[in-house]
Amino acid sequence: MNPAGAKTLGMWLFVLSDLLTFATLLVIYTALRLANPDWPKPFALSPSIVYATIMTIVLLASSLTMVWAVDAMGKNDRKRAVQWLLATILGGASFIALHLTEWRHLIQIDKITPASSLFGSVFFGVTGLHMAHVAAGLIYLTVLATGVARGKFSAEDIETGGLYWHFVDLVWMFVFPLVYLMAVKP
Amino acid sequence: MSYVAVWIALVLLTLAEVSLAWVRTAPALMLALLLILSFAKAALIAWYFMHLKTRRPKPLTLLIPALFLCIGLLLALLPDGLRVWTLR
Repeated sequence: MNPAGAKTLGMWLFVLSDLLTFATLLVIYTALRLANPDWPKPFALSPSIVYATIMTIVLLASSLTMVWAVDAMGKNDRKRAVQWLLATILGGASFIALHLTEWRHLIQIDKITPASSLFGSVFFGVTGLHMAHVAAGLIYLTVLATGVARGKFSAEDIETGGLYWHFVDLVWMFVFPLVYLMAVKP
Repeated sequence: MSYVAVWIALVLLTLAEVSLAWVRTAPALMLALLLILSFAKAALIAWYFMHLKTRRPKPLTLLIPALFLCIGLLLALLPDGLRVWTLR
């Protein structure tokens, strides 16, 4: 048995409501994609899909370090928890850096911007909202790591942060195939 | 199942998704396969990393009252929605 505390329950409610936002966006994206036979397919297998695959694996690795941070905090090993939290932050920051590189490539070389086409609007809308969640997660995890290092925060606080981070990871598991893989250059 | 094993499974499923794009699978079939793989990955993350496996009661039970509210909202808006058939 692992009963949920008020903070964990609150985060689950947030996660479920935010899931609806992303689900709506992705359903709209997929409906537009299927309804338009001439939907742009700007992503070459190399470098775009290779980049996006590396981003996915990096984000998955950050989820692994996050779950280790939660485990360490559960054992009251604060030093180890801070180390894993910092590793998670590094993974998240790498994801954003790779993502911005991919965006720059799309804007400068393929000339796709949020205002250039329907594809540009929904692509930057969906991936931008996800990136904003990752950026917010990095701030959240930095606050947690700093607090844990100073002896503040409980195991439930770290678990709550973990739930948020895994949620961001989970959403990307749908964004990557639906947005990137369904728009690979023929 | 250890966390590292879950991570390896997630990476392998991701590579399976990429391979579908690599072999240029037909769009409709590809969408169906990608959705199956994506839901499998999401389930692994939720079950092991988000600890749904050990959590009691399951947080998804929170959705049950929301489901009734959604059904109520749908029924309330249905008459307006059905007007679309009579509009010119």
